[in-house]
Amino acid sequence: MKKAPVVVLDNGAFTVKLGLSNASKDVSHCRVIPNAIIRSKGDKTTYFGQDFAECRDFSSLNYRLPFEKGYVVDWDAQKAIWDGIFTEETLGVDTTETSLLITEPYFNLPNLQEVYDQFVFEEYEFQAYHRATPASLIPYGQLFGKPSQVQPECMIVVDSGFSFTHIVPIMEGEIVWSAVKRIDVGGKLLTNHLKELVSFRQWNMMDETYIMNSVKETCCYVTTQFSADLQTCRYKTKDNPILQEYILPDFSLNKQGRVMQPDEMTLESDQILHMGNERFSVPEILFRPDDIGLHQAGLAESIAASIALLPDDLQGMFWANIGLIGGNTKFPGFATRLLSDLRPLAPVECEVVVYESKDAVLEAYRGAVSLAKQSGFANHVVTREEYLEGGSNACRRKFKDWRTAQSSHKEDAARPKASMVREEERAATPAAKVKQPVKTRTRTVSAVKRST
Amino acid sequence: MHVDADRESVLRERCRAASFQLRPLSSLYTTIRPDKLGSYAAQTPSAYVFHPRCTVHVLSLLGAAARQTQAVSALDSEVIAKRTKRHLDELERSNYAEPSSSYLGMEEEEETAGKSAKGRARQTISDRRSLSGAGAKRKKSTMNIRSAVLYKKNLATLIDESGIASLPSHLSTYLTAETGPPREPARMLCSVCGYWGSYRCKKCAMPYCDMNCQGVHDETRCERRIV
Ligand SMILES: [Zn+2]
Ligand SMILES: [Zn+2]
Repeated sequence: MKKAPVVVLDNGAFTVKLGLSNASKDVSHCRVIPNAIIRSKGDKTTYFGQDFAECRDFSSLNYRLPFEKGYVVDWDAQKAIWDGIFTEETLGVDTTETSLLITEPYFNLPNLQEVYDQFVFEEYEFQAYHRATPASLIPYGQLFGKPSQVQPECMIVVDSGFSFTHIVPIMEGEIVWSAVKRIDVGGKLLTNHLKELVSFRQWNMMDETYIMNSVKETCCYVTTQFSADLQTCRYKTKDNPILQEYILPDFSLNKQGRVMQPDEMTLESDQILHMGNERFSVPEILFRPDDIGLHQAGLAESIAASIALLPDDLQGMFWANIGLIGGNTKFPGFATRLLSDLRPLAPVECEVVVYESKDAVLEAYRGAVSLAKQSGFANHVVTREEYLEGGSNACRRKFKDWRTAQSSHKEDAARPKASMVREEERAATPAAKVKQPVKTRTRTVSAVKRST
Repeated sequence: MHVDADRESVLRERCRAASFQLRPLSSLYTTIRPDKLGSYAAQTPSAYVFHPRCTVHVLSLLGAAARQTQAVSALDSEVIAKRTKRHLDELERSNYAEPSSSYLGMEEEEETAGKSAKGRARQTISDRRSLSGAGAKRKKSTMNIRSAVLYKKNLATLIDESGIASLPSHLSTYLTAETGPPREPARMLCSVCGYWGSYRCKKCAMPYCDMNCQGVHDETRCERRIV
C-alpha cells in the first residue's frame, strides 16, 4: 500500500503555502494563497484566501488578516480561510484520513498553540499532526546545499517575513531559543511606510495597499551605498539613474501597473509614480530600524548579538552558515548588503558566508515537505487518539519549541555530539568542500551563495 | 461641493509652492494634504483633502496659523516618543481606514438580504462563508472552536493571558527575544524628501534638509501641538 501523503501548510501571516508531500519532486506544485479575507470595492465581492485569484479590481482593497503582529488573533477569519483550504476539492484528500504538518510563529503563545491543536483535531479531524516553526524546517531543505550534502551542524536562519524578522540559530537541527532575536520590521511595515512616503510626496496611496506592495516588490532594492544613492536622488530625472517611473494601474481599463521602459511614450491618461530614494530607503529599515524611530538594532548587529550568545568555540561555524528565508530577503542586493554589514562585525579570522534561496518564500515549505516524506516523520506527530486522551498536553510533550528549550546560558548550552568536526577539519572533508565559497589567499573569506 | 474659485487658486498655488503636482480633478489617483496622514491628521486643523475621483473639499483654511503663535524652545522628548510610538503603531495597520475592517463584507450582505445589522451581529464571517456554500459542509464545531471564533482577543490580551511574563528566567519568550538597541545614534533624514536632514524644526523637532523642505514642512507636516 502506498503511504498516504501529508498535508503541508506553511501558515504565514501574508500567504499560506499549501500542498501535499507527494505532489512532485520539487516545490512547483505549492499553492501560495493570501492568508486574508479581501474585499474589492470594484468587484463588489469579498474574497476568502484562495478565491482571491478571481479578483480583477485591486484598487482600494480592504484586508482582514488573521494575524496581528505575527500571531493568529482573529480565529474567525483564520477559520474562514482554512475552511476553504481543508476541503477535498482543494487538497485532493480528506483531512480525516491524512496527517498535517503546519508551521507556527516563533515563540507562539501557549494559549494560541492550544487553539491550533483544537482546530487540527476537533474541527478538521486530522489523523495526526506536527507543528513547527519555519526555521526549524530549514535543516531538512536545500538552503545550505543539496540534501545529499552534509548539512552544517551550526547555522543561522534569518527569516524576514510579513510581520517581523527573526534571527534563529540552529545547532544540530535544534533551535537555540536563548539566542533567537527579533526585529519588529516586516513586509507589512515596509509597504505601509512606502505608502506614507508616496502619499506625502506624490499621490494619495493610503488605501492602495495592494498596489503599493506590488510597487515595493517591483522597484525596491537594498543598497550597499546608502549615502551615495541618496546623493544621486538629489538630482532631477535625467541625471538620476536610480529614478524609476512607475505607471500606476487602471483596473477599470484592465491596465496593470508597471515600470516605464527607457524610451517608452506615455499616454495622456497615464499616471506616473516617481520612485527615487523610496526605492532603497524603504528596505533600508531592515538594516537601520531607527530610520523610522524604531529603537532596535538592525539586521547585521542583531545577527552578531545572536552569535555572541552561542558557545565560543562554535561561533565561527555560525558566521560561515547564514541562510536567508522569507519574502523580504528577495529584495535585490539583500545578501550583498548583509554581508558587507556583517564583515566588520565578525572576528577577522572568521569566514562569513550568506546563503540565498532562489525562492525564499518557499524555503520553509520545501523543508517541511522533505521532513514529511521521511520515514521518521511518524515520530514527530501527535495522533488524534493521543489528543483525545491527553488534550493539548500531548502536543506540548511532543513538539519541541521554545518551552522545551535547554538552559539559556551559553556555557551549558547543549554541545553538538562528538561527530561534529571542527571548522578547520570540516574544510578538509570532501562533502564540505563542495560548499566552500571561492577562497582568496587570506583566511577571511566572505561570500554570498545562492541555492540551486 | 462648491469650491470658491479664489480659494482653489490659492490652494493650487500653495501646493505648487510645496512642490506637489496637482492633476486634473478627474485623475484616478490624487494628492492628499500630508497632514491628513494618520497621526498627523489630528494635529492640524487646517485641512483640505483632494478626494479620489471627485471634487476638492475645503474643510477649513489656515485656521491653524492663529493657533501656532508662541514657540516654546524646550521640546518634550516624551511627546516626541509618543509621536513615534503612534506612528509605529500606524505602520502595523492592515487598512488605512481601520475601523471598517472588522465588519468587512457585512455591508454587501445586508444590502442584498435586507436584514437588520442587529439580527446578524453574532454571525461570524466563517459562518457566513460556509452558509454561502463555499468551503466544506461541516458538522457542528466544538465548544473550543466556537469560543475561539466568537471571542476575539487582541495580542496584548493574549500575551497577558498566556502567562509568559512569569515564566522562569532561563526561558526565552516573545517578551525577551526583542533585539537590543542600535549601537550607533539614529541618522537624521529629511522628513520631507528623505535626503540627509541638516536641521531640526524648532517647534516639533522633525528634521529637514534645506529651506525648500522647511517650507513644505511648515506648511504641511509641522506638529504644532508640541509648541
Ligand atoms: Zn528635504
Ligand atoms: Zn515642525
